[in-house]
Amino acid sequence: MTALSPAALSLRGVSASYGGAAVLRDIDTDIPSGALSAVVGPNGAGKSTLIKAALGLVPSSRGTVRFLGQPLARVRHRVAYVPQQDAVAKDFPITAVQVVEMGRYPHRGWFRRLRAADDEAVADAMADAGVSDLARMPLDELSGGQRQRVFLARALAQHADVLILDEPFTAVDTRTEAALLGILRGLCDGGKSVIAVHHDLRTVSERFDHATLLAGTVLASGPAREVLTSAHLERAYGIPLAASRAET
Amino acid sequence: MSADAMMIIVIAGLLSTGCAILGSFLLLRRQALLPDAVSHAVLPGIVLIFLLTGQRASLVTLLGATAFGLLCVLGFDWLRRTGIVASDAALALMFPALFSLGVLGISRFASGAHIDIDSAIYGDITFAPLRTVALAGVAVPRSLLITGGAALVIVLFVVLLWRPLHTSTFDPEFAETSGLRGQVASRALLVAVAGLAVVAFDSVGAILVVTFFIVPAATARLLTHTLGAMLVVAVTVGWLASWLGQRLAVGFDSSIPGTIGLVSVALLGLALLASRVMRRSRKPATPVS
Amino acid sequence: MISWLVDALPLPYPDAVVVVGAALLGFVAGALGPFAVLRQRAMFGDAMSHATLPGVAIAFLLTGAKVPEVLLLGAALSAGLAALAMIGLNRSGKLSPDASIGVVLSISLTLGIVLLTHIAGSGNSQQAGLNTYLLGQAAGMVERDIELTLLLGVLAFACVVTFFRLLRSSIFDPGFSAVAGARTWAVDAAATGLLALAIVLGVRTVGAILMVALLVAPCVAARQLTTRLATLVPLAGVIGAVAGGIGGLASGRAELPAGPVIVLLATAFAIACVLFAPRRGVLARRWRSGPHPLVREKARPGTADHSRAEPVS
Repeated sequence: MTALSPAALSLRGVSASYGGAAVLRDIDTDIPSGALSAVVGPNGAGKSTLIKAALGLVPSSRGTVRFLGQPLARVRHRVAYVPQQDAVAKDFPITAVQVVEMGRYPHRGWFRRLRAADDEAVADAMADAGVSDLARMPLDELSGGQRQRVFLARALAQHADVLILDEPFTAVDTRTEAALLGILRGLCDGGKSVIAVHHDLRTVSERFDHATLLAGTVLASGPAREVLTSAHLERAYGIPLAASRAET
Repeated sequence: MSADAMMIIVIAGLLSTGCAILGSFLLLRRQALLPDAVSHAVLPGIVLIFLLTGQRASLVTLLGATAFGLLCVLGFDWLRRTGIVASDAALALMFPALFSLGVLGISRFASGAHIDIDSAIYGDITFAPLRTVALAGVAVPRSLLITGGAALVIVLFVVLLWRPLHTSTFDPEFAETSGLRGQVASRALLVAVAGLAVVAFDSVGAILVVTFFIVPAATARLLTHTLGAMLVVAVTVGWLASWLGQRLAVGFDSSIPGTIGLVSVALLGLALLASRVMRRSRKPATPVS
Repeated sequence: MISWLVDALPLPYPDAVVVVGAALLGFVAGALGPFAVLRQRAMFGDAMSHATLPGVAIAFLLTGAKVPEVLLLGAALSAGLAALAMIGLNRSGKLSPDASIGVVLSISLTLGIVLLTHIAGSGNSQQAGLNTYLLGQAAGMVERDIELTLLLGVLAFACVVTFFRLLRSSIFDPGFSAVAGARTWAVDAAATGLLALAIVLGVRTVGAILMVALLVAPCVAARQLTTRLATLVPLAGVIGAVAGGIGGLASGRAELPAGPVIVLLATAFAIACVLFAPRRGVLARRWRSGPHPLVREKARPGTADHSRAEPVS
């Protein structure tokens, strides 16, 4: 988090729109590296759009995006993305281990065979995410929590330095959420950066290092507890809201 | 314009009235392709009734065809609910199979009779003014009675069930929990679509039904912001297309339903252009916070 | 090689040609179908099949003769245009995906019908038989048709094998694949191109109205029997081939249009698989009462899902 290491994600003048309606306007913000960071804000604030635009998934977006100080094209293999569950094809014939193997594609390209080292990375990632015993299961027979662990395993197998997760804890029970947060925390302690879109303000203020509060533009950004103050939240959500009672 | 030409325009207009209204609801419910499927699926019903009774256009035909239309919708719904087949694949599985049954029925048992594949596909609105029935001593085209009746029933249906239809289209869960019986309204809508698709099938054939249902509704969606306005514009577009289409078809000696369809599509193209111009002239959206 | 295969079958020559030809195109359509169905693009494929009609009609009007390759080229071009139109309408954000499909379906059909009626009225002696593009015909297939199907089928197969990993991960998780460096538009174009190829090869035998079933039904059936895409694709191909071969032969013998017979066979098999498949079938699920033992949710009933609640509530 020092000034010496470049930000995990840095946005300058980023704007994005869907179907002609502006969702994000002139975003300037830095998300530090080596930290567990959250992107928060009310529905429609553009949380998911922000990370999708950063990852080049919103065709209409403009502005400059840097991951670890570099354009995405230079550091693709260092960035892992876990999309929202609804962005993934339903009822696709695939097993858990095949999903995790995809995490090695950024290293091996689309054509080269996976090597023993890749198999090892896949096995380690599945063990870390606690899904080794599900390797041969068809994905559509897994529960929401198990699926999310498999997708996290894919990101782990990628050995990326920046992990980006879009609403990773929806359709996940609280116990799985705590376990996943523990894994993410471990990654940050090992020097990796994690950026998650999340809407549970209490979890963010208690468990995250950094937060970016969004409502079309960046309202506040910094250490989570300093960002999630009642004054900031009132501006974002439009109603009086105490950070500590956000979830009640 | 001859009386027959006028009659064709009125029949097509009445038909598109019902289609445009129900099509608007389907479009908003993301079920735009349902009438296409249903209009294909009714063929075996029509053939079966013809084989049983020798009648090709009677109330029994309507019932038989509607039954198969519902069979298609129910089969589609069942496949979708099993969670095994995605909803678009479920639709693509049901209607070709039923249409195939109908085509085989015609080829095997009914070829050379008054029912043939060409009219099942293209419809025969051109000859509609010639087939008349006596009503209070006056010869009235049968199609006029059928399409007029259908339009009336659809308008009444929507007026009477406006609230549950409107609410369940916008927010199905709210409609259910607030006691508006959204599910019942949705089912009734499907029955109405099946029945109207049969009527449309008789006039314009299996494959143009989707045009009558969807294209005016899509045009209206681009130009309006409320459901009420959308229905009015959709019906107007339907009548406009019927009138222009009939005139052009006569001018170019072309298929009447086909030309009406082309005119609807052209009107949709104009609406797309118009909505682009309208958006550009509007000020950019005001900031959220 | 083809004449060897045709001669090897214990059937009269014309029947053997139909069986081999229809089975081959059934294989191609069945094997390429998953690339539409798994992307929820089944009805997209339906609109593309219908769009072959105006293409065939325009190709005929321009050349004045029924040269199969020219008509198929016209069909391919107009199917491709329809795909572009649907993607464009959808991207414009003004029409939902199903409405975009419905609109393009409407354009294709109305244009097709206006053109076909125009041709029928023009008194061109060559025009008889264009109607077979609506409902399909297996009779009249010649060895040259089989060669063409084989050539394009092998090309498509090579394409699928070479780009298998890319196709699989882009269809399964487009966002992840794009971030990993896949060109989304190129994969989209390739998958749509493969779909167009399957449709164009099948449309004369199965017909524009019913072609979608030959793409969808084998895939639905095969999906019930396997959990891997690498098995699903060839298995769907084999199911399509069986339906095509048997249907082509039976329809020729009974003088029925080929499309409906092939489609009913494939659909019946798909429904049977939906009902009776060992693991995913409806009956198997019912008997198993509740989810698979491995899958049973580990969370106890008491642990409510807090993450779903909105912060404002």
